[in-house]
Amino acid sequence: MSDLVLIFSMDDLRGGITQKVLKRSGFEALLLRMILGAKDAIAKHAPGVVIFDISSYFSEEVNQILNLCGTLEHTPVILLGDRSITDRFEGTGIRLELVLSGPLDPELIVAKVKEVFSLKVEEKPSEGDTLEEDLKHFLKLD
Amino acid sequence: MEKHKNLIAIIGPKGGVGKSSICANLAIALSRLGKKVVAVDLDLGASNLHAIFGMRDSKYSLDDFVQNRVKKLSDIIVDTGLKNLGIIRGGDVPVIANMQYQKKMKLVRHLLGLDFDLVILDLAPGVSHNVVDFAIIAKKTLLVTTPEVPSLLNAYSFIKVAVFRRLSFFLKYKKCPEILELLERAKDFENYPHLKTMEGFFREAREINSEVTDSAKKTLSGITPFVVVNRVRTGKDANTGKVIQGLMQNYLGIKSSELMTIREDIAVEKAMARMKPIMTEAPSSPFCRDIEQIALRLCE
Repeated sequence: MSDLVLIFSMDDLRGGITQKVLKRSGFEALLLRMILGAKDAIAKHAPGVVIFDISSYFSEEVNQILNLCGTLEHTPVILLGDRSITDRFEGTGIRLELVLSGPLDPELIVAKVKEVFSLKVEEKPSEGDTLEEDLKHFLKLD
Repeated sequence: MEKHKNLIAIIGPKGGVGKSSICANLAIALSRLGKKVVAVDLDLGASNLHAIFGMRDSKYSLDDFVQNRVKKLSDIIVDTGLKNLGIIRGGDVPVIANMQYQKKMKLVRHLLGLDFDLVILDLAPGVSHNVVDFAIIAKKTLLVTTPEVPSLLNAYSFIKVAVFRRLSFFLKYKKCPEILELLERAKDFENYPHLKTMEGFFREAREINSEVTDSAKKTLSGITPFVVVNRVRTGKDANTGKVIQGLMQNYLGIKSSELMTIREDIAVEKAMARMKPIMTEAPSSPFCRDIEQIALRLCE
């Protein structure tokens, strides 16, 4: 998985702003319009985060995104769009890192992307787990 | 001490772990499940629950009740504007943080008399007796920690204080000074290493009075905190809850009934900045989903 953010948006303005703000924050960001072929694009680029801006997609395309999200177990997904549409993802068991149903909030998106990438760094294997030993030491239980 | 069925205590022994935020939003989640809920800010002297609900002013607070300016606790319940949910604003007068025993008992009586399905207590940080006593009488206690070591240490220490206080009450009630003395020695386990674990303490106590010891051990079975790890960012973070559960079981004889996690979520800060509960601002956020899971578990 790379440190690329893949943005899917039919709205050039919203998608462009999101891409620009991410790039300005130091992320590699690629903006794609078509949902058809999204699965292949994700497989090809192996992005660290996928952003679906579903506000301008047709109902059938939203269904495709919904199905696609169900297959992205290991890829963090951020969903942007009206609540009436994002609500369709509720109760599906799909894990979404962030659902932004209000106005476009680039600052919030960047913060979440930063958070996701910082976690990836932290989750790299460490030299043994010493938490229990540390706690015992501090509590004088060792 | 009797457990009271509709009291839920939220404790966060280390300040700043998100206890009040969890309390406010959990209260909303429970009210949405059809429960009639009141959230009570018992972080006396440093209250902030009302701020999370965006309430800048309210006519009454706990100060008025504790200082006898109103007769009934129910008179100071503030409507949140949300269905099934009221709050009692905490006091700001520092002296009430160290409430006298009689005043505390009066407060407990009134809390138990509130006509609500659930009374959620947002308790102060630290391990003061006032805080521990409210936690002990509650039917369910949520022990909130973050994955960092200082917070985990404080969480363990809180349960340890609760264990010793409960045993102390019980042994005084049973008029058993020899075991009480042994309990005092167990606090100084560096000099009495065989009393480092509760099992070691009970082993020696049984030699003094087996009947009282067995009953004392049973009283501890009532302490079953739900461990809630807040601001979880990684699987490793989530596992810290298991570590603290293991220490509590091995050294204090306390079996935590549940381990729940709440994901780190930037939307919480955003909602706080707007002085709105995240449950109303961003109900689809990971934080809210995790809170809803906890609410469901509490209703089981």
